[in-house]
Amino acid sequence: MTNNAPPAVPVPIPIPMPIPAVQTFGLTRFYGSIAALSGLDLTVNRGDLFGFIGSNGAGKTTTLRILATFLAPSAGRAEVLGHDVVKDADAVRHVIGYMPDFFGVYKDMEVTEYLDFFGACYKIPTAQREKTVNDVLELVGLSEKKGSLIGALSRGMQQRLGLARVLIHDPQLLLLDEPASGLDPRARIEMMAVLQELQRLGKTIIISSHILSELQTLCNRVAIIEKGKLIYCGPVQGVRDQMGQGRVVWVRVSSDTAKAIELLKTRPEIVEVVAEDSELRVTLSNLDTDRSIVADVLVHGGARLIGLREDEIGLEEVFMRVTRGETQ
Amino acid sequence: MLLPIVHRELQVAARRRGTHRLRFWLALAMLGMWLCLLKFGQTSLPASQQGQALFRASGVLALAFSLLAGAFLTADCLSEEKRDGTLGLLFLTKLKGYDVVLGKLVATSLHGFYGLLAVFPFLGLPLLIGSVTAGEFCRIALALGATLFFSLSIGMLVSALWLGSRQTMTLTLVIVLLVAGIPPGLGWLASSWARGGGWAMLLAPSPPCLFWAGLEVNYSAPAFWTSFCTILFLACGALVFPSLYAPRAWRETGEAARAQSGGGWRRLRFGSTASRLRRRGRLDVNPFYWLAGRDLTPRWTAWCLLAPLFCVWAGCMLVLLGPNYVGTRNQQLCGLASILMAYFMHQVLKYLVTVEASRWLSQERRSGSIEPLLVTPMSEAEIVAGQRRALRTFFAGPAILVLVTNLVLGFGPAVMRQARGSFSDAPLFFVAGIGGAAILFFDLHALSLVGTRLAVKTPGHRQAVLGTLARVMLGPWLVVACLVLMGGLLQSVAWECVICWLGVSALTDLTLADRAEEELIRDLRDHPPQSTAPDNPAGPGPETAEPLAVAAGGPSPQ
Repeated sequence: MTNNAPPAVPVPIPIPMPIPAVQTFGLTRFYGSIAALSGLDLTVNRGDLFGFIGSNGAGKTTTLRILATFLAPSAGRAEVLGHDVVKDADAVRHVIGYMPDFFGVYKDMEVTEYLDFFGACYKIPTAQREKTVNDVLELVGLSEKKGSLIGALSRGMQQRLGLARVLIHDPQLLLLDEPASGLDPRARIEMMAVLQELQRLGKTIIISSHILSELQTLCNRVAIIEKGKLIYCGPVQGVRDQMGQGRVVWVRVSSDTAKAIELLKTRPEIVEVVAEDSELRVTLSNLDTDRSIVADVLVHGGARLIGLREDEIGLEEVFMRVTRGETQ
Repeated sequence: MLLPIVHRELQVAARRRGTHRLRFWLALAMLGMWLCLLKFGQTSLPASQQGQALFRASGVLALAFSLLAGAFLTADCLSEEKRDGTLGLLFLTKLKGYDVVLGKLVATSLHGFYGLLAVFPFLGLPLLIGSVTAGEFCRIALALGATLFFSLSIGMLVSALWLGSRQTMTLTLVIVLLVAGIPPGLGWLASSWARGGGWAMLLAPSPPCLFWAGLEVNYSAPAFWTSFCTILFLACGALVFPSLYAPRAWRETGEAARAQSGGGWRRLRFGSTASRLRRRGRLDVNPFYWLAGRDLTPRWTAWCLLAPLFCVWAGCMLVLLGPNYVGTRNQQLCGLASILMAYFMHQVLKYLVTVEASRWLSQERRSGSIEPLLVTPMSEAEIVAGQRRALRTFFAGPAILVLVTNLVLGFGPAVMRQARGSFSDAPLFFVAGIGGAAILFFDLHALSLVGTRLAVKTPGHRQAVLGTLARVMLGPWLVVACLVLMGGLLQSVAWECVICWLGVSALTDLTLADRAEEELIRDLRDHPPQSTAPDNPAGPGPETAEPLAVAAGGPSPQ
């Protein structure tokens, strides 16, 4: 018996498509005649730690409130984990945890009473509630404050309690509006560590913040919004790349700067060399160019290289460049 | 400039739509009442007597308005700033205590002043008819002005000392009504049981006594002017204290300090640890029921206010129904007092229900704690049901107490007629008593729903309470006022009036309750919280009161 089967063709391994956790389609919200959001199209994938950036009044909080089913959109629609935020609001509320930028707490309540109440709101059975409350308190580091009155907690602890409340029903998506605002540096770092831990546990997190340096290290994707419109949505690195300028490298040589400039200008990958103070500002033709060519040229040309660093554009600078600071 | 805040607040208030709206509605209400009284009035009476009756009717309504103004206008003004933490900012500037107190007084009481001003033309009409002298008109106008000033000043005093909107409004109302009601009561007791003069001095601090003394038939210059000066003196005293205390009051840390202090206050508000644990079971029934029912203050406030009134009412009933030891005139007075007391108990209970119905959500909106609540899967219907259930828990006992007064007043005359054969109006009393009991439930139902609805819709608790009472109670109150003030007409159209009152009340209650419930369930989730809304470019609504701290900061916008 001969084998007539066609030769085996290697089957390509499918790259898993990211599953969207949040999608908005032309999301619009008016306050009177003023559009706080105008046709926002946004996609956040599952497992993302997603930074939502914009000036005050840009439409961040409105977007988060719509996603949290707290506001109805004037036009367009939004889906959270496959549920429409208007038509299927109840299902959405079960899978999200929303922490507003400013929220009041019941100061005359005990910490456990507060979480117990929200546990009951999410219909967690009584028998299970005590354990859940203990677990979330442990997670946010408030176990020792169980019996304390909320009014007696510091601002940072109240913020952490807010996070514990958000986690009480184990939501898949967290919507956090300025969770670190008003916190001291230590509390902020601790809060960010908790968020990273939550991402590790598989939660999707959308976080709006003005502290962009933290979002830069924390988030894998960001969106920049201005005047209710999306300016950018994608990876953090991508936003820098999209700035449209080549890679910039700063070089320091011990002597004979003119010779070093001559050497560098011989390479086609280098489009510009400018002496600034005691350094040379070298602009590479595109972002893919390996910066080691700069060192190679100088070393092989006999120049004494004593320093080389890449010009990192921070998220703050990117933000300042792409936005005009306009609000609705 | 002298008193810069007063200057600015007058400018701001003059531009506010509410200032003009209130004046319009009050004048319209007064006009309606006049037309009603003229239509149903005794046309057989000479014009002069009709004019006198109308003058008194308008005056009594204006007096009630002036007495209540403090509780609704000034009682929560300083306390609100303390709660928001903005009072301290004012004292970082060069402002003095009296600047702030007078500025706040002007800002919050301009509505009341204009409202009273809208009544004066109607008070002046009998002057044209010729049934009232110019002197009487001026005295009554002065009495009303002094009453308004007194009530507003008491509101300022309470506002400086207390923190919560519920406490300040209720306490102001209690103080004003005690000052208004206790002196005449004591005077009456003294003149009935102890012979001799000198009791007139007891009446001096009471605004209704000042009003009474200003009427031509009762006028005696020493009594009127003594009372007038006493009331002004008390009012000024009530303003001096907050002016001295306000610069220190802001250092109070309020709820946080109380929360930390624990102890007796906490036990009084929330019950013992055991009862708190027991009440946790409500979480499984309806979490909002547990939340709204945590603070037990409304329950004991209701008992503290209604139990003494009930005792006075019961005393009057005993005198009325028992053997005649006090004379026929006093017995009749007791009968009248028992009816008034029962009516007063109704109003107190309704006021308390309104305050509580609108308090929780109003506070939640202001503090920003409503957002975390509304993003839970708890439905709007559940929230409304939880709120109503908590109100039932607080006020069921007091409502039964009030119900008892109605039943006794309904059946009492019939019993008396059986026993003494002397009560011709027994059927009317029966209908009014039993109908009043039914209306009590309709009213409480409507007040709880409309109060909750307005808590979500209006900018503050005070506005919600005032709006609810105006919507639900004003129509029936005006009908009752006409009913009482028509005096001699009572015999001829009493049945029509009682049926009209019951009809108007039931219709108002059912219509408003139904609409409020529908709107609540529809709109509860689409209201941005008041305290924040940073992304809300529209900003606060036009009726939102501007914090004084902001007012003090910059130049006045022209």
